[in-house]
Amino acid sequence: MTNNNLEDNIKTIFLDTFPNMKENEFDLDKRQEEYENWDSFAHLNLITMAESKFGINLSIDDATSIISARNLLDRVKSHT
Amino acid sequence: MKLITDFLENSSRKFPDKTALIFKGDKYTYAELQRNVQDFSSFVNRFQKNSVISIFFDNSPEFIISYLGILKSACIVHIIPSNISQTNLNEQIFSAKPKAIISSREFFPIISKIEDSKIEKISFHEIKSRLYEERKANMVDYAYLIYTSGTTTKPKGVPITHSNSVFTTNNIANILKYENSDIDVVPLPLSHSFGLGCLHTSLYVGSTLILHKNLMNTSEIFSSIKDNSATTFAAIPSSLTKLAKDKSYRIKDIFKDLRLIITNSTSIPNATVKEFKKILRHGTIATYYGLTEASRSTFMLFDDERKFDSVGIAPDQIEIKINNEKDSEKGEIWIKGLNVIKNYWNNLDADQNFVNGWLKTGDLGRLDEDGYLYILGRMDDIINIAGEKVLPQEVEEVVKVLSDIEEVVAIPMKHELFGNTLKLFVKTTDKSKITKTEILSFCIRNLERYKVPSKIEFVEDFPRTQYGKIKRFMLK
Repeated sequence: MTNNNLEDNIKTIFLDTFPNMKENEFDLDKRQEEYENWDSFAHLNLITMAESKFGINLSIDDATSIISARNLLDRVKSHT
Repeated sequence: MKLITDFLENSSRKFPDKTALIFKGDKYTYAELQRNVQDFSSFVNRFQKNSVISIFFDNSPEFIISYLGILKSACIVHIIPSNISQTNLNEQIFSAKPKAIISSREFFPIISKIEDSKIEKISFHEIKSRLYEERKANMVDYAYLIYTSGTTTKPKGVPITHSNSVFTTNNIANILKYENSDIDVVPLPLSHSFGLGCLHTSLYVGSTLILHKNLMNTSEIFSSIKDNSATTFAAIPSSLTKLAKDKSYRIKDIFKDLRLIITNSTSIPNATVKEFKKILRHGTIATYYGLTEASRSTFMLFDDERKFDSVGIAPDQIEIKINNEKDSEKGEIWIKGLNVIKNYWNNLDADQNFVNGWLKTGDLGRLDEDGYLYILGRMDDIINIAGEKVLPQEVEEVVKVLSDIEEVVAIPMKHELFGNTLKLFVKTTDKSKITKTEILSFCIRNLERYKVPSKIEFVEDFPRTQYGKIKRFMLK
């Protein structure tokens, strides 16, 4: 999977997990606290979506270290 | 009518030449069926009244003749489901302590393996009739013994009296308006309370029962409905949902003239109800809620769309209450009435489920202001996710809306941070290409965040009880 493809997939995961977020509001470097509703359950949904989409398993340490879309992208890259 | 055997006796007097039963093209009139039952009973009379006699058959005329023949001898029928495992069979025999086991020729090698030499093992086809002498049971006597399917616990013996059964059959016939003009297509196992209730009802009103071994051969069932101008059809909710989703059959044409489709207690998706209500030109779909221990405790006729999520209301002489905690409308469903057994079969632990005549069902539910009952799940199914209480059935109902999903089960999964999260087991339809992310994304859009599963696994099928119910505890 190319970097662009991977980024597109991460973007899709974020847009799916935060259905109220508009496409132009997505930013790879936007941080957790800048999202209106990125709580612990939304976090779990993000991780689950990423695991399903890429067929990977993220450890608790991996999962808790993710605070932006770029973090998730990096974690996915390291597993694929 | 006071006894189950009165159903056949009454109908054979009123309609001796009418077809009572059709099975694989063979027909039995009411008079022929009564004669066969009497001949069989003449053989069973060698056992003392109230002896337990086990029967082990697939759906067949032999099942019906043995069942009614044993009842006619005032003995107790222990009904063994045909797909039972050897382990469960041994356990049931140990618990039921029958004097004899009677089986079809096909199942005789299985019962021959049972080591207890005090139990007679008899093949149906070797039975010779003797001189018949009338014996009568009392209405409070046990009529039959069925072991619960054990979706959540070990199977328990449920002894049903004649009076339990007569009361329930009378309710079914009156509420669902069964008449002797009905032609009833039944592809359900007679070893289960649902199928057996259909048999009782046909005999009670004097209708014609078209019995099938099962629902596997759909085209055979469809021909049966069409060629015999059937008026009623019985099937479990998952079969109806499958039929409603399968566009390859001419469902509309086949089902349109039925006056009744009856299904049973597990929840039936709204979409399936609506689909069949559209198909049935003059008829209706109905369901009931009950346990083997408290058969047909409510009836639901789906005549008010606002109540489609309900399993209906209790008939006269059946009481339902919700044993709830303070400030909660949800609680355990308790049932009292003439349909409720008094105790389990030699099982003092299970008898703790009875409190002053009330049966504690273990089902979680609520009643609305009009007395309609809503089933919310099992008491022990509630999952605690980071302090939030989740009923797996709520999640399953949402996912089931997706047309690619045939069956789905949600179970708790241990989680380091949340204590538990949900794992979903999904069985898709044959041609489905749905992905896990599509299911997740649908869940996120339609459920609270904490109810969204954290894992999804596709399965070919589920572990099931002998009655086809999914064994949830085996997935945990």
